[in-house]
Amino acid sequence: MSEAGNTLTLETTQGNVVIEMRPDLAPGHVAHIKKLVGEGFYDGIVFHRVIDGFMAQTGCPNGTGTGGSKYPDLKAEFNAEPHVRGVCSMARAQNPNSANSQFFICFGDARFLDKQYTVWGKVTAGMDNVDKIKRGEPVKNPDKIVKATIS
Amino acid sequence: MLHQNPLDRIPRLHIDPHAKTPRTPYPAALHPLPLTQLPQGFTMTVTRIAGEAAEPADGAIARPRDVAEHIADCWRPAPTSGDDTREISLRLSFSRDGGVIGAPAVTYAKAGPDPVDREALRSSILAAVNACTPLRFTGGLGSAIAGLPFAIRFVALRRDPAFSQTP
Repeated sequence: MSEAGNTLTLETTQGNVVIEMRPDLAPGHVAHIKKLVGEGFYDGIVFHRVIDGFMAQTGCPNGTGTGGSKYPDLKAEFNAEPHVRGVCSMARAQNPNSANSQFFICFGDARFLDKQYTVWGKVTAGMDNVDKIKRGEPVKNPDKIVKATIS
Repeated sequence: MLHQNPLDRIPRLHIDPHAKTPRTPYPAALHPLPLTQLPQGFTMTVTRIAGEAAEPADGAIARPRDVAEHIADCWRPAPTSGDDTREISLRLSFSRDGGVIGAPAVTYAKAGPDPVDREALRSSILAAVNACTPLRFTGGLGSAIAGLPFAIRFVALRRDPAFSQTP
């Protein structure tokens, strides 16, 4: 059971996905995501890059992987949490401090990403729905986050 | 001699090939040189990606190059109407304790045709200097570069729209 206020529920076109956020690992990232969820930033955003066996990426307002929020980029909070199935981590450009709003959910082990991308949560329910998200790079008629909520 | 080559009058620098001091043009305090060999200042370029946050490194600055890097890390060039690379050159010098001597001079600015963008660029770099000075120099560097002019060209590259975020 996660602490109050650290449960992120993504209502997606494939069903609900519940993520337990980890402010102990990445306090800056979790606070930033909560702020964006509160503003409805993620509502309607697509899973634009979904690679079978690897991960499903979302959070880009342009739906292309090039966008972010209106807020400045985040300082990296790389941690030792391993990138395994269900782990939620932050996408970024080449600069380690360039994460902003895009994140990804791992389908399987991706340990080569450890300590290079900021892990900030893990799926606790609805991983079967994540598995159903349409694959593609880019994805044709992509699935999307209908509504994101914090509880 | 009537036709002496004027170059012959310049004292020659005798370099001991076995000396352990680093063979670099600076810092003078660490590598004493004859007066004619004193550096006349530093010219350097630092590049950042516009819109990407950076934090200045902790710890004392030990190399002249890191002076430019430190100021660039404090720099937040404002978004412009255009997408082009922006450049601005500053000429300034520092006291031994890391303060700026006088006012930094902006010697060049490239920020597109809009004078508002140019002024914003100018303000952004002066704000960066204000925010990050006095710089914390190591004792050796402070003594070596005090009063010497730094000509620093700051370049803000636009973020490549094709450069996606990924894991």
